[in-house]
Amino acid sequence: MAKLPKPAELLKIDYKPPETGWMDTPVEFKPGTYSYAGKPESLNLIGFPNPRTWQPTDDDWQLPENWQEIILDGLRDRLERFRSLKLFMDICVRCGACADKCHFYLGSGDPKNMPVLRAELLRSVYRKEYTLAGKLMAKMVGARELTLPVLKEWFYYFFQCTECRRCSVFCPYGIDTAEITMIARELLNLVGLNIDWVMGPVSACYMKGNHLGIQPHGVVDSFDMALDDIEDITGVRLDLSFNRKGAEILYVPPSGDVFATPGTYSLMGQLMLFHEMGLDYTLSTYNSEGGNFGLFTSNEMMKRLNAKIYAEAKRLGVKWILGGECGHMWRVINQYMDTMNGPADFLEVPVSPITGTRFENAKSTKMIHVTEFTADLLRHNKIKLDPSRNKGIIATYHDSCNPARAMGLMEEPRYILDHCVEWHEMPEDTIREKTFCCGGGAGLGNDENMEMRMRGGFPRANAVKYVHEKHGVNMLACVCAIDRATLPPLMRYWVPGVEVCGVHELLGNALIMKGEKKREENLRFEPLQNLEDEVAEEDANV
Amino acid sequence: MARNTLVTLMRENREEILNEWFHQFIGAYPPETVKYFERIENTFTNPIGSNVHKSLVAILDELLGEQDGDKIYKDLEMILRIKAVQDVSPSKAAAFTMALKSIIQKRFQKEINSGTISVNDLLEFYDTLDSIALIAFNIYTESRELIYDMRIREIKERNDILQKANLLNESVDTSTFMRCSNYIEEK
Repeated sequence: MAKLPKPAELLKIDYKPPETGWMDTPVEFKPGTYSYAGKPESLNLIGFPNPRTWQPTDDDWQLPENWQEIILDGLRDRLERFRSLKLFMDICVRCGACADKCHFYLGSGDPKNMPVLRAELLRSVYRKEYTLAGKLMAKMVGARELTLPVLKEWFYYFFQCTECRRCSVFCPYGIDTAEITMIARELLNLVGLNIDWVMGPVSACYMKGNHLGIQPHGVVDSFDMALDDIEDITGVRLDLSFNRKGAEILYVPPSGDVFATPGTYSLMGQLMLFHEMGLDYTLSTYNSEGGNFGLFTSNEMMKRLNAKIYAEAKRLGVKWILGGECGHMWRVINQYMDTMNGPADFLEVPVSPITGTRFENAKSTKMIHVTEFTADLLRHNKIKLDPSRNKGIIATYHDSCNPARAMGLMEEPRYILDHCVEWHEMPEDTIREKTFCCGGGAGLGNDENMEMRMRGGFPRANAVKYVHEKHGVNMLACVCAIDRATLPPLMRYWVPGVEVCGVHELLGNALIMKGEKKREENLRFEPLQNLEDEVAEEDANV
Repeated sequence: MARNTLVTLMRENREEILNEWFHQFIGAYPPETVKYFERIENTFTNPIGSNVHKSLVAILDELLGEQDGDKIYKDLEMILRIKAVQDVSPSKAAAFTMALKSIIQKRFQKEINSGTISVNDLLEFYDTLDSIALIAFNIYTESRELIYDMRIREIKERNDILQKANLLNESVDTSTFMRCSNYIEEK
């Protein structure tokens, strides 16, 4: 018979630290806090090593016999190839400036979510293998061997980092902790350790051009549905072109906006704007994805997936490329594309055909963000807007991590909001380069990881809650398709009453189009509040 | 609550009780974390510490004041939402409400023994804390249910998209599809 615990025992809330130090305390995979393993069919498609059916909760991870050798060789190879990695391994003085800057740490309190300690998981092995002090004095200098528990710890914590780079902003040495995670994930991939929410999209994108693996005719169908909805709402029928050679511009949205709400509303806003401006652009059914989950896999995979953007631009003979409201896509484009798959000397520096603005900032990549394009149109008074159609919406703006920190896109989305809707900033520590992640980037936005997402997203939600209570904010605008997928449940859990949208959805609501009918509904088919108020006023006058 | 000796004494010792309650709560986190979570000046750089502190203050003040159920619910909700995603059992998540009993017992040991605080007052207050603990269990369960519901909704939405695109039929041999990256790699 089990003894009934005394209330005091049951209620004991004192934390008992593990008897072992952090280096020797193994991880435990609990439901809600890890992602399912990558499927063998995904790995087979892209030729990745060790395809098999397994799960992180299995005792036996079915690793190759010489897995340690593979990883250590991989690390040595990368230390030789990437000077930045060597630097990041050596220069950290463990000052702790980054410790309380990670959203996962702030939402969980788990010390191994401190960026410094997360990096230390890799550094400890590096020291043991590649430094004299580590070889001789091991534990005294924070060095340890690569054992199976260490490997499991790597998997657990490097798939608990969204590569958002908030911690890097605070590092006095400028260590890019996201790059440490990227390398750690590369190493894990060498022995077949990866997650389904990354490998599924990677293989689908490689095979069919987008994360969901929708085939070209399905892509066209989805755009057709968007056009039907636009026609119902505005009375205007748009004409799109796919794979059209000789168009001036290739437009590449993230596929999340093509297939799933609320991203589709933002896509509709963009298509409406392009139509209204008479833009000579085309879409590609082969390159039907701006996002690049290769970024969360390996350098080489990122390059392979990114290659199709320039290849399609070349094949179609366009002058420049316009990219949609996506997040991590812009880290790849702004920081890696030019050197990975460039130079794109067959393209021209983007010039807006409407305003004549030459986007010097995109001189080498030849690709600009759609909010840059739209903000420029607004600056030159080229767009007619009726912001009263957004009446009832009180917005705030979430700086999506990668556009904010990897390309410095801060003002353009705000400038667009200024013209379309009543909106309020969140507090200073939570916006612009200090923005908090949604908690589901870098492939962690899967349903099985929901509990971890709610932890990681709490700092962001906490700031939204503040403006929700202070200003009545009921809409969270952003420029990232992953945000639009992960923020709605985050809001539902922490700040009910706040919905999520793309910036161009609000622009699309307000956009006055030639030949449009009197708008009665917004892009979500919800009745416009300004009209309801008009009717109420008329009734009152009668 | 009627103004009895217990309530009066608790009001006089409000700060000390709050501090002890808060530190016990935060003490449940790993030692490396406690020093960060105890800094409550900025809610945006320390959302857990500051929200927990704010809620404990509000709950204690309601307990010693009007005991408005709606207000107490709102503050309990914030704490239980946090605990429900931090890998703790429901009993541990709700335990902080009961912790107030032992705090009172220790602090006012003399007054209880001497009868300055009547048994009735004490039992009445403990009753209130029991109700709060039960409400906390409700909120914990609601939070967990919400998480499962959010999971189901995501799976259903994804399913709908795949179904629309006819991608749920696994018998379709995808290896025969044109590989869009082929021609790029061949180059």
